[in-house]
Amino acid sequence: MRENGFLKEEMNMIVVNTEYVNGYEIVEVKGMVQGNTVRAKHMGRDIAASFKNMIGGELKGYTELLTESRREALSRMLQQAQELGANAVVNVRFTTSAITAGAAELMAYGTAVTVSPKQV
Amino acid sequence: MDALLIAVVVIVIGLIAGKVSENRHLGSLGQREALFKDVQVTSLRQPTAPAAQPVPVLVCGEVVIASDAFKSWASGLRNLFGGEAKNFGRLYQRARREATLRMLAEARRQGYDAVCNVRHISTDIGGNAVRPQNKAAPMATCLAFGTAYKRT
Repeated sequence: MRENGFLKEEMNMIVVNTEYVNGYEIVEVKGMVQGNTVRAKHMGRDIAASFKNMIGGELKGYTELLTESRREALSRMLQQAQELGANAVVNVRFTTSAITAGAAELMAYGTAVTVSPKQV
Repeated sequence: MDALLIAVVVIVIGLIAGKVSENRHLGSLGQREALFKDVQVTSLRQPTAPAAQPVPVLVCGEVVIASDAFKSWASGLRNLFGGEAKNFGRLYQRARREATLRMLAEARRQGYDAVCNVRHISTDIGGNAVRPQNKAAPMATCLAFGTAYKRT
């Protein structure tokens, strides 16, 4: 069951941008994981966008598209991490590239690790 | 002659509407940034004085902003003379500020009060899916992401 684009198992994983998770220590490094998605623009949104391109302002349709892409890319990355048996992904970074005029790729990548709470 | 007239009308509408929309957006950005003054935002790679719970989490914010007809036309002139494209600089600046605000809103919604390791990614997804050669209308995209944590 997907909630917010993520599976239940994925939501229990720790995902951070930093190199380590505070309060946890890295037990084992599983490897690099990544998830990407290529989205093409939708003709209906494009027509609405042509109007916005005249007056300027936020393109809500495309923002939603970007949000979906971001969730999808993260979800795929977490799936890979799960397959490796990790319970956290650290040092997550995003990168984008335009494929053609009208399609862009969003990729999320990070390092899958197993963490356990630090003993104080 | 007709086509020229329509083009001029479109550009003038773009100039006026674009200015109005930009000023409104800048006002809104200023207001909302004041609301987030208590959130500590850094690009440092580690959190400063973090609490043990709740566990830090990745937060993201994104936005796509279109440029108006006047800016797109004026940039064509800029291509003749060179120099700094201030119009587009302002556009990307607005996109970056908006994406950062959304990221902070997401962090606050999940109960955190600081964000570290903030990175921004900007692209231009202008260009028409239907007519790919029409690249004159830039759409500035910014994705801001960072690690949200709670300060002790």
